[in-house]
Amino acid sequence: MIINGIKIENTFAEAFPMKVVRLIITADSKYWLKQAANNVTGFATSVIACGCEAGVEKEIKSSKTPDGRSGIAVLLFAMDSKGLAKQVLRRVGQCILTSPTTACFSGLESNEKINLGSAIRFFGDGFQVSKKINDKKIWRIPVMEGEFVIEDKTSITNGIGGGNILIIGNSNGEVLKSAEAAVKEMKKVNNIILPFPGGIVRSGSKVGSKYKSLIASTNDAYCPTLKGITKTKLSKSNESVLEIVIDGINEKDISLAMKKGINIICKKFNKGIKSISAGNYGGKLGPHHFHLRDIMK
Amino acid sequence: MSYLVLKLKKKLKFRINLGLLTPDKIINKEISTIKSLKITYGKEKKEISNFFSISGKLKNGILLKGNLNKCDFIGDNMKDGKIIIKGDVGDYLGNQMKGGKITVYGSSSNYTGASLKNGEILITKNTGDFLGSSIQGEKLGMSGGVIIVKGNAGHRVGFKMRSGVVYIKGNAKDFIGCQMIAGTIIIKGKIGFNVGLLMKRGTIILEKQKLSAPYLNYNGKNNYIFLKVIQSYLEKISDEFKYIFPNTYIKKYLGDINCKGMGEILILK
Repeated sequence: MIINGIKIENTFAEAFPMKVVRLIITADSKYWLKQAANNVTGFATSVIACGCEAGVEKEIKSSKTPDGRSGIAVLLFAMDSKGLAKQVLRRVGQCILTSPTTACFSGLESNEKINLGSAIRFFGDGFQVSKKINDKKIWRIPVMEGEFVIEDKTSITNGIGGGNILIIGNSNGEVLKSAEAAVKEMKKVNNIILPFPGGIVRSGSKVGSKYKSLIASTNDAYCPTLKGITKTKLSKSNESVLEIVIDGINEKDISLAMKKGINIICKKFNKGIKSISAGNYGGKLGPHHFHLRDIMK
Repeated sequence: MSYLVLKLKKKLKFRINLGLLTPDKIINKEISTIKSLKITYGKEKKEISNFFSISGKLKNGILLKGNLNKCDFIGDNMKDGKIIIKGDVGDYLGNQMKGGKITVYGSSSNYTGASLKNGEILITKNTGDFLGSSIQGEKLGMSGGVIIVKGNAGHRVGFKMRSGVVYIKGNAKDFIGCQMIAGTIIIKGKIGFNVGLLMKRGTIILEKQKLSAPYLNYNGKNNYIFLKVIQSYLEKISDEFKYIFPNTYIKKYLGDINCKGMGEILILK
């Protein structure tokens, strides 16, 4: 398949099941909202070493948040519920509780729940107060600034991690520009995050390594500097590859984000970009397969 | 809308207990069976059809009509469904209720919502003493649910209250939140003496008051954003709660300092 001169490889992105939580952060000002959101999703690019993958999903209007202030929704993904609960407790406790004027609420509804305020409340040292209205419960934790308000529990649900596209081109500059444009477009889709810095990853990995202690190592088949010595998937003229990784709540929105990203690249960057591919492990690792050509039909 | 309609035939001489008439208790009963349900009247047991004309179907709930101020325990232990009352009702309305909704287009007497566990009670006029309190001899008052009174309330609102929300649009008399353990009481009108006496925890929110009781400590002003959160939760239950907390930067008193001192009285203006 060729779209506007760019080859869409006959391959698929391989993704795997994860557990996901959506947290809604609110604050008095957009500045502190962004501070809290950026901190709670910081150092969360890959489960390989970060414990979770996280990112900002969307901004929420004040009329849609529980306390009537502007909000930001963040998504956090981990391999299992226990791991997710651990990350949520650490990150909310260290990054949202500490940010001035913020409050934190659950942004999902499901039967599976993990502790949120019910664990953080102990910081209140006995001075914390709960408020329960029907099935909703919040905690008010006294802090030096006033009170930190946080919902008692948050729902979690099944998510998908590892949707991706690989952008292959003949110059670093063009590939980066096209990736940036794709990220901008993909961020418009709800229910997904792009967990890497600026949504882009340059160090795509393969499973395993010659070093036994490593579970992942550089994807040498896509390293332009190794074309001469490895079983490369690049042509002689290809000089740069960047990857965009997508985690999402469902397959539909991950596919939509991939489609939007590829579309903008094909529309605006057909001179510098040569092909679009995707990372997979032969279909053995994850049950979710996003076939590029099916998505672009 | 299809309701099982019970209309009071005559003025009652003695008090009657209507606790057996809740939607969840009679859901599978034929109308003839309902008519023959026995209730105590004075020293006798009489069929309910002696007092009420009964018609309609229990599809949307029960509709009670007439001056029912001698009918007690309406909605007793109710788990689900809807009861609408057009007229005044007696004591213990919604006693230990666990779910559903009771609407009274009139006034209720004492112990309304006593030991309420969940569900919603709406009174369009006034209510008596011990609203949302514990029933006599019990340790805990209401432990969940929402009570809305559009008129005034009597003494000891929320006595030993444990959780839930009481909202009074009018005035309330003395000893509001007395021995309160937790929960939220909101009063828009005037209040009597000794608000929050012996309260351990919980929140009493008042519209405009100057408090000087010796058992309360003035705590200064701060921004209590949780008010907006509970407002948004309450708005989903009833439109009555729209804009009830226009301002969150408000005064707070803590008390009763002779108990734990963790109860709070917030003054909206």
